[in-house]
Amino acid sequence: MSTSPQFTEATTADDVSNTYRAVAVILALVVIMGLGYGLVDTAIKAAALFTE
Amino acid sequence: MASVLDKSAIIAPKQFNRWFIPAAALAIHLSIGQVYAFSVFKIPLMAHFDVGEVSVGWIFSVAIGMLGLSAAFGGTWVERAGPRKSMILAGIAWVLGFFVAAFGISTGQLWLVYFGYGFIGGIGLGIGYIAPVSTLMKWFPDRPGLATGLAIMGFGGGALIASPLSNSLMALFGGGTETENLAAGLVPTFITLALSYAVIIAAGAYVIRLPHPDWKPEGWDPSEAKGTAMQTDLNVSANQALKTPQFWFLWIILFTNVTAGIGILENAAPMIQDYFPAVTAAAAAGFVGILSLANMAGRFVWSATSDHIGRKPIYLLYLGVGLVLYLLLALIGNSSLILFILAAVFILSFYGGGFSTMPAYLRDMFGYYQVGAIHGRILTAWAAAGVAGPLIVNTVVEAQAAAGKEGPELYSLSMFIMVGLLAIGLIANLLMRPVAEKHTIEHDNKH
Repeated sequence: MSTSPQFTEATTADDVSNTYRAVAVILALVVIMGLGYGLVDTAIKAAALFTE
Repeated sequence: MASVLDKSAIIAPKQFNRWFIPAAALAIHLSIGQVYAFSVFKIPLMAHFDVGEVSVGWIFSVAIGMLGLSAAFGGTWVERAGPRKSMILAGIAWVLGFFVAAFGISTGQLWLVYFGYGFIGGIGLGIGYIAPVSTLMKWFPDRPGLATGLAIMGFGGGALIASPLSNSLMALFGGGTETENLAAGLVPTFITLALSYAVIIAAGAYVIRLPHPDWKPEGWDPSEAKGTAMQTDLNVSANQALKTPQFWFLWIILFTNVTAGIGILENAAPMIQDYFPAVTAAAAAGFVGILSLANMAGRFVWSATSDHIGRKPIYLLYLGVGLVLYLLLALIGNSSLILFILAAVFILSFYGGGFSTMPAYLRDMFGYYQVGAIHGRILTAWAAAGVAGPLIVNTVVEAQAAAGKEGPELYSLSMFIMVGLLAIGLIANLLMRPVAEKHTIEHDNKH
């Protein structure tokens, strides 16, 4: 079985790399901001049901 | 040869924050959830190709059909390949689909849009939908409903983001909000969305990890979790699952629940105006927005709740209360606007909850072994409901209109049909029992 560096890194390291942590946090922020944008936009449109 | 895409390359360390994983799952579900916002392209595409609504509508239908087929036939491969390889394949198909469609739009060839967005993109939809779900359940063995609710909520959320974003992009690139401006902005919008989804899905595939074999949630004791009779600790293969009555009961449950939801979704805006003539077009659009929020919230709230009250009881709620609410709409729906809105909101929240709770129900019945593949196969119920739901509602409404009926009477018959369908789903759920041990791989290994 191959034991290339990138292969063994994920399986034997005790902790994840800083790069991994940074990408994961940025992705989480993008996801939260995206959902926030969609929810607020939809809520504004939905408000028309009670204001129109 | 092993690669960074293989399962073995993405085993997490023993000490790992599992809350990184929902963001990875949401990344792909938010991206492919764009498909539910496809209607924003309808009018610009009709103007660009000078065709009718039906011709453009086929793009969405092909995509959803391919979703069902690729999830059903690709599920076993997804289980074998692991979440990263599956997410990458799904991402490539989804993004390539946008590019091919953009090429079709720029060269005036509608068939390329069917082939690109519908066929190729549809493969990305099916693989991408099931790719992160079983992984999430492995990270949250203590809360599988919460885990699947988080991911599948993203599929609903994707449309909430893509709809206003696509409109803004088309207006920006086309130089205005008139139909010809929006049509002119189609190609750069498709390319911008494709590039954005490529980055987000790639990041999700990078972040996704499988739990270490020795990992378990802090403070969670698997032996204490084996308390309920409706949660197996055995495993059934995807092929064997098809031979169990439980699989087909669940298929019926999903089919009836989705068909009932589509019964409202398909005609939400005209329906509220037919029930309450004083409701304006803008307010009707607001009603559609409220239903979108209910659909998305239901995916998370009800699925997470199912971890506490059990999967069978929560489907009794979806189907039983849904049935009563449909009856209320059919019989006294026009007596109160608030009653109408509340009933529709709960029905749509049950529709969303039905989608997101299903993988956890499958895990309870068939174990973890090939739950992703089984989930893929049961999604054919979604594809079938996607055909049956609109067909029932539109056929009945047209027939009633031709008979001279108007207002709420246009919808009464289709609502009673939905009540009947929900009753069938309710009976199927009541018949659910644990899967017999003879179907499990543990039984096969003993003999």
